[in-house]
Amino acid sequence: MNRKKSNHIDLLAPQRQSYVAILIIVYKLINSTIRQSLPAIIVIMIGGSMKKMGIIALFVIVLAVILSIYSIISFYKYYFYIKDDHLIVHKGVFKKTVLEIPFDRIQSINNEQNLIHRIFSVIKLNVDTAGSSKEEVQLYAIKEEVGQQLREYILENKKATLQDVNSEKLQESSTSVDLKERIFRLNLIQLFKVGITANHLRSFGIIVFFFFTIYDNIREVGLDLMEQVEDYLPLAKAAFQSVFLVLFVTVLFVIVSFIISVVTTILKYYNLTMYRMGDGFIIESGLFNRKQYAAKDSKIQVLSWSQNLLQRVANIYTIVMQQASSVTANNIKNATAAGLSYDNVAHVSQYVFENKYEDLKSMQWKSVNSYYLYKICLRWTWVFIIPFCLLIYAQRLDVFIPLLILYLIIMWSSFLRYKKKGYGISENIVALKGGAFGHQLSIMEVHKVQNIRMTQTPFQRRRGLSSLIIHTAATTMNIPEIKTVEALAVKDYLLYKVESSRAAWM
Amino acid sequence: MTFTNDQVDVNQLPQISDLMYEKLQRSYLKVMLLRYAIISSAFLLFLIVLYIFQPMEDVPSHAYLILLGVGILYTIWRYIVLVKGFDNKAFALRDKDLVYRTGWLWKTVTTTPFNRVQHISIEQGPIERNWNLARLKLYTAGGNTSDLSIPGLDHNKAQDLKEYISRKTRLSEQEEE
Repeated sequence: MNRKKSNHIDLLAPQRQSYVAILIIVYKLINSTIRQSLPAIIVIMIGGSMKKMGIIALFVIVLAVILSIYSIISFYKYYFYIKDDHLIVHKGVFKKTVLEIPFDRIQSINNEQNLIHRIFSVIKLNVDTAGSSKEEVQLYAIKEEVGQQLREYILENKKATLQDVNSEKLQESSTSVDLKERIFRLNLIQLFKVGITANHLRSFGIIVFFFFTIYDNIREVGLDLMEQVEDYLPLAKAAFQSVFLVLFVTVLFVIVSFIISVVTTILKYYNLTMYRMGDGFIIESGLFNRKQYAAKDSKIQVLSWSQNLLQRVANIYTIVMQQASSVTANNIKNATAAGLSYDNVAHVSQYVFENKYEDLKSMQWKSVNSYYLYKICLRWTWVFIIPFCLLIYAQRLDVFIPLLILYLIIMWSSFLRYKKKGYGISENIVALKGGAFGHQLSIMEVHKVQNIRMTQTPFQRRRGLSSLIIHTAATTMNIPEIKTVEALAVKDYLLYKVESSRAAWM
Repeated sequence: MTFTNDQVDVNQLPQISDLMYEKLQRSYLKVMLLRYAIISSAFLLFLIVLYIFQPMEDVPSHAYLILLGVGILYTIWRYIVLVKGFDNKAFALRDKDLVYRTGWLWKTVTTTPFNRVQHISIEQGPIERNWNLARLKLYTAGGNTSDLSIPGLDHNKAQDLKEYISRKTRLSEQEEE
């Protein structure tokens, strides 16, 4: 306690960062400016004559001076202090901002020291809160003892248990295997199933995109591969234009993307094991790069499981635990496990929601208005109508018919999406159904709501409809196109639940 | 603490629809108009310059004129939306949450419960400072998109609101324990 009193003197008075911070801010600003303008600089260097170099050098010097002055001003406008268990930061050159962060909201405080910091014996302090990166405080350079005191003071006066204390505990005990209960392990046959049922469309898209980007880049530099090939092999030009070759390339793309998605999925989920430990889960997976994810029950905001068309046939599920965490720590944000059976899914859900999970069985599902279907169909029709007209006008039926089939498939999937869309609200949970050819279900506890937004477009107003957007600390849940009266009732109910509940969202 | 789980009559729930909304400061409309005037004049100037110099030779001159016309119509439309939309920008303070309504054709109502507020800030831009206006921002853990931001408040009033909400968030935290 004595120590705490002595800290009061230091921390309650507004203070600036160490002067080293100017150096670091200047360095950061110049670094990022150079990085962003690098392409432009290269172009000018290559294309410009020596005469222009002088102008460019002048420009760079002026820019550096402006940035330095800006850094110095922003340094002097930036100060921090502690008041009533809040960390308060004033900052901004043109736009003044005052940040007030209650100690309880602070998730973790991390020190960082790079070479510059070490030379001047200062530290960088990152104060992490749950929420957007804007709310995070970074003290670029403060004296080591100030940082130490600030850290101790905040930790001492923080009422809630610190997040990093919890995760430390989780990791400590994770070394002793006997404490963990194994829920699920993926064997080789299941792993293969997961690989085959992966989302091949996505890797197909990535490959096509990748191919065209590379092709474009090569051409921009002036090395038109195709042209060179054409020069040497006039036959290739004719062959390339033939439908046969296009078909061949397409099939090749499909096969390659299939193999790639199978291999990456197998590498990712190799020996996937899910443990239950204490009040959280641990998911381990990966062949070369073995990763471990920890998910505490209280941090899980939304639990969702899904099946795509292929997974429906194989009868396996993918489960995602959306966790609350700061933006900077997004590597641990969503814990995903694939290849689970329905029993596994129910088992996991029971752990997360305990007896609230029973609500799901007696859930009264409500569907969304048919305007939802109408809207999707109309949007896609707008996309397709001009190509359709042009193709008919040009009498290109060979292109028109595949496009028409694609259009009909989209219409069919939209219809399925509308049919499967549904939401349910019970005493304790909010659930959302979805999917087109597959299935998806997301569940959240009512008290995890952070903020509710209700929107209405002019088209919705005519029909007496509205949409609800429910924000949680991890993701958002959208309930589109429901009757305004219904939306208001849902909103009032959820707000009542949140505001009268004492359960912490994390 | 004893666990209570009272039955709730859905019809008795506090309803948002019959709230008394308070409009933003009238002078904020000036701020918005001024801000948009700067942007739109730059935009229109660009289109005019484009029309005068006609940089691309293979594009017919009336195409630039059409572009300019569309630009002018768009700007007018934006002004209408801005002025009409201003009357719909309003907030309501309740015991346990803050409600903010915005939009003329595309309407949005956002509600942030106080016991989910992470922290609060007051922001003031250079134009706003001239009219002593400020923007109140409530940050929740839901990330950027779920932060509630109310512009066009009298600076003193923003401070009062901030005090009130800070007290409320602290109160709700004490209850949790």
